[in-house]
Amino acid sequence: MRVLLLLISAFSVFWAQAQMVTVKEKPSFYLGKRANLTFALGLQPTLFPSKPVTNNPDGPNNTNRLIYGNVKSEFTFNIALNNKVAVYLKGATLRTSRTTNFISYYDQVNSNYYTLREETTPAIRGRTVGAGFSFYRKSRAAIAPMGSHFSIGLSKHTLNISYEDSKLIERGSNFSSKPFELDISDRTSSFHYFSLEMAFTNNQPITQNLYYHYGFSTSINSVRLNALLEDSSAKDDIDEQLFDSNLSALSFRDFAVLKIGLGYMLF
Amino acid sequence: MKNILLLLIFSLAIQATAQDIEHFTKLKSAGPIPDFFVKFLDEKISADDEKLKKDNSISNKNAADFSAITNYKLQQLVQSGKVLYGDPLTEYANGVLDKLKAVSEEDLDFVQLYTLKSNEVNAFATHQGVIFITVGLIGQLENEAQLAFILAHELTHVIEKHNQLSYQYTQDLVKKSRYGDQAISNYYKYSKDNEEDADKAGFKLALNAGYNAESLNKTFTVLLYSYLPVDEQAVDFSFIENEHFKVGDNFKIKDKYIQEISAEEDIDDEFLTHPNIKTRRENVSNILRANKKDDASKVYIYGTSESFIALRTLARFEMMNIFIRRADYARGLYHSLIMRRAHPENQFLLNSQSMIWYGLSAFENRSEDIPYNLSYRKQEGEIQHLYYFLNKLNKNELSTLAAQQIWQNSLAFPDNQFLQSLRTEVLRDFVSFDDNKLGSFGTQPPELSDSTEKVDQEEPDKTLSKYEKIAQKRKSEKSEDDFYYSLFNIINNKDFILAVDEAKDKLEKDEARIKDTEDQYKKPQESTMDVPSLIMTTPNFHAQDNRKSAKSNVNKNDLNETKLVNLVIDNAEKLNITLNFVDNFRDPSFTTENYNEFSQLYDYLGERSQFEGMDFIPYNAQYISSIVDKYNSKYVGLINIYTEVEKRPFNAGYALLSAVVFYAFPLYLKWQLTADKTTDYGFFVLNLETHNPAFSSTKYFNADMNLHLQNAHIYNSLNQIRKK
Repeated sequence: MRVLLLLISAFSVFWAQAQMVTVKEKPSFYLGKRANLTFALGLQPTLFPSKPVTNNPDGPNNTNRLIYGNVKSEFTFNIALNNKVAVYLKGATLRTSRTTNFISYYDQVNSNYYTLREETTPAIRGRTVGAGFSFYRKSRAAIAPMGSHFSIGLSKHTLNISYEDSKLIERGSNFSSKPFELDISDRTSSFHYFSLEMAFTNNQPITQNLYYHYGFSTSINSVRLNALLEDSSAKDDIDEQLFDSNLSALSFRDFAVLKIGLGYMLF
Repeated sequence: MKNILLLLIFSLAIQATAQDIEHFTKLKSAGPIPDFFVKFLDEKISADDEKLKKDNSISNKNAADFSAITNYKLQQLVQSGKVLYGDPLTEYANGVLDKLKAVSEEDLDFVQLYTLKSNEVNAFATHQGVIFITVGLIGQLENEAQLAFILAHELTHVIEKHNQLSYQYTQDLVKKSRYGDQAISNYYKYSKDNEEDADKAGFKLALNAGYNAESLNKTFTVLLYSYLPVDEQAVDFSFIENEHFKVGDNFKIKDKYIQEISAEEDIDDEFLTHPNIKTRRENVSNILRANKKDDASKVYIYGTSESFIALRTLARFEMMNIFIRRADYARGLYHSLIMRRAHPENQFLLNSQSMIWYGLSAFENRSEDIPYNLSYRKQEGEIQHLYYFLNKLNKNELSTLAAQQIWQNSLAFPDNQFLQSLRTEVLRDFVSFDDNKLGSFGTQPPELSDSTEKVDQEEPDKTLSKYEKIAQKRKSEKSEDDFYYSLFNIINNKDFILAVDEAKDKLEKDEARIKDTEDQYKKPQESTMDVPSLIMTTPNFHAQDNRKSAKSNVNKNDLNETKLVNLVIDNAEKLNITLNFVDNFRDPSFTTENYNEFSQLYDYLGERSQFEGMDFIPYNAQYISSIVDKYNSKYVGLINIYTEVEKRPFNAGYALLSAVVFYAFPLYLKWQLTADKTTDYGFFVLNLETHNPAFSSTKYFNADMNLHLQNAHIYNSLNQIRKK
């Protein structure tokens, strides 16, 4: 029988051509369900450290390229348009901190330079909203919105760097018994930028409705293009320098993200 | 008194068989379904595994795989619908087997016997103690003693554990990586040694049971010529001839081309699993000499000569069904000619012979892919004459003879609906030839028409040129003229004339339909099908992961298949489709009635699968209506999912390239470390009324499908045939 079935399957293509009216495939989606919600963690290394403020050539120029891990939480809502294409909407939050070693400020008036007190770490909070299309890979047996797919979409990111409890501390002064501290705790750096995100991900069903999600995504941020970039908080020189010091880090944010998550078929 | 009762039972059995022949359609299983058929595979494997581990004929490591493979194959065989139990053939063979078991020193209660619907002359035994004999074997044997010898031979394989030992031997060869000619030769020698043991011990066992030594020895002669038909009878073409139409000499093979029967006892058997017949005879010669004059020995112990011949007739009738199922028409026609000599008016034989003519006509006229070969050169003996004749016929002549045969046969059984449908259908091919106008065939006796021709011939046109004369001469030599009177017996029949006209109209409509289909193929539209109830066969799920052991693969396949059936049923409910699984062996309420039903359906599907790409009424269609009525569905669904996973071989080129293009290295690594996975998916729906496909979806994936994804694709396919 097994051989028979195989034969029939092999021949059915010819049968179809010879005798059967060819029909357009009706979209069935995944077991009749077209919408799902995925929660995923995006693990990404801080591949590139922020650029130190280097207007003092003698200042600390610690370009330690240690890779720091960041985790973002992401919810994605998919709705399939047919068996191959789905539209997605997503929201993500990022809560992390950045390395302190590279933030320094050079006061040209006093010829002092300051670095961030090492025990303090600026907090970074980010929010992302985005939308795009997912193309389910027929060659990998995917049927939207389940299975292996390629996604492409646009995201808008808002990033707030808060220097709460942070102080820039004077370094290199031989005249002061007590290092001069520059309070930056009330300052924030806010960034709004866009990115083009591409992802190769997979929804693999565990039960009929539950699935696990994994894959890889990459983004091209507008920061890199220096376009559509908005700093809502730059007020003076120090703000600008703080802003500058974060730019290079931002440009590679979401460059390589490993995604792992769980999802559920909704309707 | 006891003897009288026994005689009475036998005579009743013979009468029943005689009646069966009169109303024969096909062999069916009877009685309770054997446990072995419905027992879950994992239970069978683990029980067998335990048993094998206590057996020193095979290592524990090999036992696990051996048990998995053999039980899986056995299950596939059982679920092929080709196995018979409780039928007259199996019952008789079991009766003989019991006689052998009774005289064996071993406890052989566990040994079971079934019959396989195959025309091959064969018997085999598995290590679990399941013996299979074929219908073709019974059809060729001369008496019960020969059957006893075959069964005793197979019993010896079971007793001596030849299967286990052979598997162990092969695995040892593989382990030593010995694949050369010598190793292969050694393997065949090992196999032949086992066969020789089975011959010797089997011969003794049959003798001990009381069978006649000389009769047992003649089994080898039967085996030697078993590739030939069941009898050697000259082909008499009178069945297609009439008083004015005779088969011309140009359709008859010349003596110098006839090939002699070539079977020899002393062939080179180095690369054969069985020794040649000469060796086999020599092996038992000593035993034969010692027992030659045993007057107490018998040819029949369980049955009688009459009951055995009746049984063999039954097997030969069933062989017709198998010939047709396999589209082995020329052999089937020869077989039916032999059978009709003893049963000239048998409706089954007329039906099946008509089907053969229809099949030949349909294949030759409608298909470009013909599964049989009509070359007479590959045949030996009398059957060559029939092959030569059929091969010589052109399409037109074949359709003419098919129409003639089916019409004649249908006149004998006017109430036979199947014959009526065939005779309508065969005319479709007949009228597709412009030459086949009824006016092209003789309607009057030749005296009248010949005289007209004579007038023409007597007054030759003197003005004809050389080339016109050649053309006229060639025309008169055309073979079509040979068939001028071929329809003489039916051409004046009003029904025939009317049917030919109807066939022409139908042909025009069919051509228009085919054109519509082609147009729609170019411009696909949404399906208008609506199937609320579907007859289903269990999805054929087979995953072969070459990185894993046979046992692991078998267990996974069995488990997945069970889960998949339940998932598919659940999801079909969402689409309001009732799925009726006809082969649900796992269902505790699965009975012999269900088994026969599914076996019937598989015969039908097997036959239909031979005729891809053309309209065709399968022979087994005549038995399908009861299934259609029972499940209130005219559609049957088939699913096939075949996955293969294998380790990728190291690719130095890719490795080097990725090392040069540094960033490509992770991609290369992923490619190299992940397995190569491919899946073939097929969903197919056949209309049981038109016998044509109603829906088909075939896909190929570079992935192995998760169980739920398989389910999603099946759901998608089911959705295509349901109109919401």
